[in-house]
Amino acid sequence: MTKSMTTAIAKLTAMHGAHRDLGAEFIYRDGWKLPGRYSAGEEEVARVKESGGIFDISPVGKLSFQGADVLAGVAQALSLPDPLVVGKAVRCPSPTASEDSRESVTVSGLTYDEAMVFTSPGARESVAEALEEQLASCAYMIDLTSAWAGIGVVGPRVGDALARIVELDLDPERFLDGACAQVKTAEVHALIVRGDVSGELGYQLYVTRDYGEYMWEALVHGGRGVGVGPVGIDAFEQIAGDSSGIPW
Amino acid sequence: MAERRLPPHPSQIIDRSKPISFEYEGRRIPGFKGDTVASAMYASGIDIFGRSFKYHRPRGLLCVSGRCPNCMMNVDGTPNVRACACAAEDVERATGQNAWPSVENDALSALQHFDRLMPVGFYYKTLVRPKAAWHLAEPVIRRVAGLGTVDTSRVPDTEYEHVNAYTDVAVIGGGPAGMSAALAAAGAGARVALIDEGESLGGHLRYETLPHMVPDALMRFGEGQGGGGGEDYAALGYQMARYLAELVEASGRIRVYAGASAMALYQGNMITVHQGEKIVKLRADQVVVATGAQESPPVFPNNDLPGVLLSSGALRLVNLYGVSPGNRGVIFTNCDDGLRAAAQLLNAGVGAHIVVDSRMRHTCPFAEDFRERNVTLLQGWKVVKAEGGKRLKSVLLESTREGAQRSVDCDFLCLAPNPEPVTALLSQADTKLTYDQVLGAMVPSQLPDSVYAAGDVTGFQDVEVHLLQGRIAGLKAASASGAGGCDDNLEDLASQLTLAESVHRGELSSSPFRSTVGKRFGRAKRFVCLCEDVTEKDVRQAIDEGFADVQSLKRYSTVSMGPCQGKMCHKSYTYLISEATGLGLDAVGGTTPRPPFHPTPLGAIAGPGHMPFRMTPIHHAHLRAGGKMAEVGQWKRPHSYGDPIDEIEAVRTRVGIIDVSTLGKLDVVGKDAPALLDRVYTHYFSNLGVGRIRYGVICSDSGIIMDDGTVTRLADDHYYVTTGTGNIDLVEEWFRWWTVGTEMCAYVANVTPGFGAVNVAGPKARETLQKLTEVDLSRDKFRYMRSARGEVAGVPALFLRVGFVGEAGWELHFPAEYGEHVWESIMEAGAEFGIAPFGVEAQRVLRLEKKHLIPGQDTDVMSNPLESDLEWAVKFEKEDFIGREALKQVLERGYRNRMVGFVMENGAVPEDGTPVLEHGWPVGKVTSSRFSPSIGKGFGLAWVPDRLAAEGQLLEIRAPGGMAWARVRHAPVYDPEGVHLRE
Repeated sequence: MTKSMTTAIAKLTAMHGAHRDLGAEFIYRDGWKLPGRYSAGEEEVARVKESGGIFDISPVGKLSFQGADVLAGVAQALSLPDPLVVGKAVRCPSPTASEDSRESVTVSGLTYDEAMVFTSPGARESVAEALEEQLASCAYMIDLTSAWAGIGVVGPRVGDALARIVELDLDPERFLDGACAQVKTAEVHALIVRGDVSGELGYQLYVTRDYGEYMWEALVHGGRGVGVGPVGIDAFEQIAGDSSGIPW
Repeated sequence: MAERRLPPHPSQIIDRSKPISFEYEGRRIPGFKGDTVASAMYASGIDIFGRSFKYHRPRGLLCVSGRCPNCMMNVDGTPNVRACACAAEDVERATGQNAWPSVENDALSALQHFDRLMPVGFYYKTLVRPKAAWHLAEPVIRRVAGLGTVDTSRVPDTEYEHVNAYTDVAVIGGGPAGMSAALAAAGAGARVALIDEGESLGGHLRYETLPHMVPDALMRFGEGQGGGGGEDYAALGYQMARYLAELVEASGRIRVYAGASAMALYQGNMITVHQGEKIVKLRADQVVVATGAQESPPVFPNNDLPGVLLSSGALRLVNLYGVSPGNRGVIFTNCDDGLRAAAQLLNAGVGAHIVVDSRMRHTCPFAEDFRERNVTLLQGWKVVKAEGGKRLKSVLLESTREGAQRSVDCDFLCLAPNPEPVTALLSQADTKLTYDQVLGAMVPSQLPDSVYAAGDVTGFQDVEVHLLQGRIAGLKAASASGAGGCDDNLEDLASQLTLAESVHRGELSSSPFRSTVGKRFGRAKRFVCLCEDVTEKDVRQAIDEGFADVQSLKRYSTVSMGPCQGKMCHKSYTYLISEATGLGLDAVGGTTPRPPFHPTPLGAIAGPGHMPFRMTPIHHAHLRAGGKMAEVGQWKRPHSYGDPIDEIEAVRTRVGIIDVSTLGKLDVVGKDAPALLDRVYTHYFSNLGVGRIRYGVICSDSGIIMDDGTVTRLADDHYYVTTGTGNIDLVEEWFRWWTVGTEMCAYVANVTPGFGAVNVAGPKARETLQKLTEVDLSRDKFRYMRSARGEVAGVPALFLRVGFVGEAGWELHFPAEYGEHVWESIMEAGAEFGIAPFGVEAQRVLRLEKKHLIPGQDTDVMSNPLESDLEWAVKFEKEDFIGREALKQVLERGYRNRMVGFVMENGAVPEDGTPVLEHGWPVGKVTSSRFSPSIGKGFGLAWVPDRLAAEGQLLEIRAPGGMAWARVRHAPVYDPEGVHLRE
């Protein structure tokens, strides 16, 4: 087999079947087949701004680092100004970004011996390579991008939708931008990260891939009563611009 | 509109410009927006709302607050709806229940004359012998006694939801104390949730039309939170309620759950709130309980007649819905609040002509008022009997001093007893309650941390006290939550409260209603428990029979076990126990107020039903292929795609493919990874060559099989471990436990969801896969129990040559996002060889033919690998492994039971779990059994005593159709030499 054959094969997210059932029009991003839109683009942008949108962000790179001193090691590798702590996600320049690039990653402390680095889908491999090398002495890296599904929720009413399934106080005044937590969500273990998008309230919800479609359905169901629903990647990218708390 | 409607009044909440109507028993009932079903019906002249549980006695409105069982009916298909708490606006049809032919004329009411046949403890005394008697009687009893019937043919369209919410301070109860607490806490900077049953806030003030006067500072919040001094604030009760409610609405920091009931107060201050079609799981840092007080009816003959109602119910009817309880009434009280209720009813134009106060020579603040209205005030009298057939006609009064009696005609009797604090939620929070002689009630005396009480629930019935209690509780709660600073005036507020409470105590005067004992009123029934038709006679008899404590009395007599859960009877039966036993009410105590405190639809409790399910990355390809999905644990897996026998044939003769993505997968890496695996598995793994695979068994300390699977060595310090489908979390935890416990340098990552996996097996598996990969799959290059990395259909994959189903084949593990692509590519490549997908049913037969066990299916909590025919996988020569000592003991004591294969002698196929017998006694069990296409017989695995485990031993097995014989066979029924595997 040749490498070109590999890259030609579309990667499907855990929620692909749900997108298909919703009549999504698909687009491709970094090898992933994603729902570009479910309805007219401007309607979806308006929906996000009025109530909220639910996006499939599974392609976000998810690099797990384990080790006794991993939080300090990762903070040093990423030149963070402050120590990395459990429960906080920090956005910082990507270790592979060139001087004129604004490429960034988000790093969060999951436990005292595990950190997770979130990258944009396109930067996953290079960031993984760079960090694995830098942290070889203190941490073991494993790429969990395939193992975890990601769902982004953005908009003023997404807190009400999440309250249907997330057992955590997500009051924007308490769970601040950049906060993260592992929490029971619709009876399943999940990682939630607050990352506002262009000033709109935003969260990322990560669950293991096998629960992806279940969690998507639970979230769509939870959002139904408050006008929060699935929105395509086109609308997300339009809203996010250059100021997204979700690595993209 | 019937004559029961009163003129409009500002306190009323009905909108007379918006008429509504609904159907009741073939009749159109008019009403107004704001009416409840009960208020509209009562205004239309209906006063019998239901029939009692056992005796089918007519029942009318009593509490008008959704607490008692009297007005339960079927509303739009939902049974047991309390009509007095059900808004009429959207109702189409209400019907009576538990009556035949109608609620008004119920033929079954004749049962009340046979009460001697239904003594207390009925189920323990009657229909015990002969045993058949109960079975004959039960259907009849179930039919004639009970509540509404659920229409199981109707699918409700209600979609309930559960919501999580968080707050600093939760206030339960929206009366003056609750609103004061909420406003004080919010003013101090806390986030506040305020829960109230009413559609609007105010509690009892909503239906009070007499003035209240309190220090003006108590009505101001947020600026200093001062509590006293200055001018007085004076307003009618409902005006005060609305003023406070406006402050709450304007606060901006108070989230109001109106029309909501707090079902329970759990540990950790989690409050479950039922609000319409929603259950809110509210977690609060601090909780203020201001649940108020409730009246419960005193016990006297015929105290259940329609027309007998509680004063709070009458005030609700009058002041909220503009409905008069009747034209000629008697008001019976033992406290000042009762006199206030009487004054309000008279002010509203309700036709009452006698006020009966059981207290002697008490100064009545409304005496002049009563005189002016030609209302007789009888002090030192009491109501001893209600009279009438289907409804109240008169009451019999008796002087408490002289014993003189007089009968008074009336069409309603308003009972205004000293109310009882609603302490159920406080009890759930583990609050200590004590009987207060002056207040005449069980009141909270020792509150747990982070829980506060305010208002009527403390036993005080004074608005100034309530406002002060609420304010202090709110400030303390806000401070304790860390959200707001405590007010500097707290000490001052506390001293004001002490003063106000002592003043109120000095003013208090009530005499408890005592039941009328004896037979001087004939056989008229005196009801203690309206829900279960338990009378005073029943309770006394139960006590005489030895059931004198509340818990056993409850269970024996069923008192308090009905829909109101003791709200209407708790006071009466505890008084009766106290009277009969001479114990104080403190010592008598009460029953446990378990959740839900308020009746809650089961659908609401069930909620949206988050039932997690897991899907493999190939799930949708299975659906397209016609897979019949089955739930295997949380996983959805194809049971089959058609006939499992055809699928088995495809694997044995051509090529089959199965989705095995559900296998647990662990990535274990680190310099101590070999040592870790040697420790947790019974087999060696440190000597496993790179690229090789070995089967392994994991045991607990006691040598019991926890799981099994394959271990592949990817590099010197890197292994890829597969586990049973349902055991991955357990195994991961087990690995981590031993890694930490032994300080080994090994990282364990659960990569189960990250990899899709398929098993391609059969004589044509090699040709099929070779079309898709450059990895050399030839027999000599890729041998059994070897692994290789490569690409399949352009996707990076790990090739594992294993043989769970007994044929030459490969397990392919690849990134999950390529699942459907890999599956479909293999199906396409295998089409020329007749490839067929196979499901878990075919897989079970195939593995069983190879005698491969499945932990959990074929083993249990007593199964060790030695007796499970896995001795070859246990390496005692290793220095140590988990379970080694326990397994050595098994060796020393000898085998007691053995797992054996068996083949049926006849055509029978036993079911999984059926017993193996010896001389008619069960001595073992079949763990897995199926029909084997390979040998054309039933076969399987079974646990049998060691003495029955010899090759060829006959086993007696219970099979469908009777006993059958099987013969022990140790070798697999298919390919015992493993030739096909290695092909």
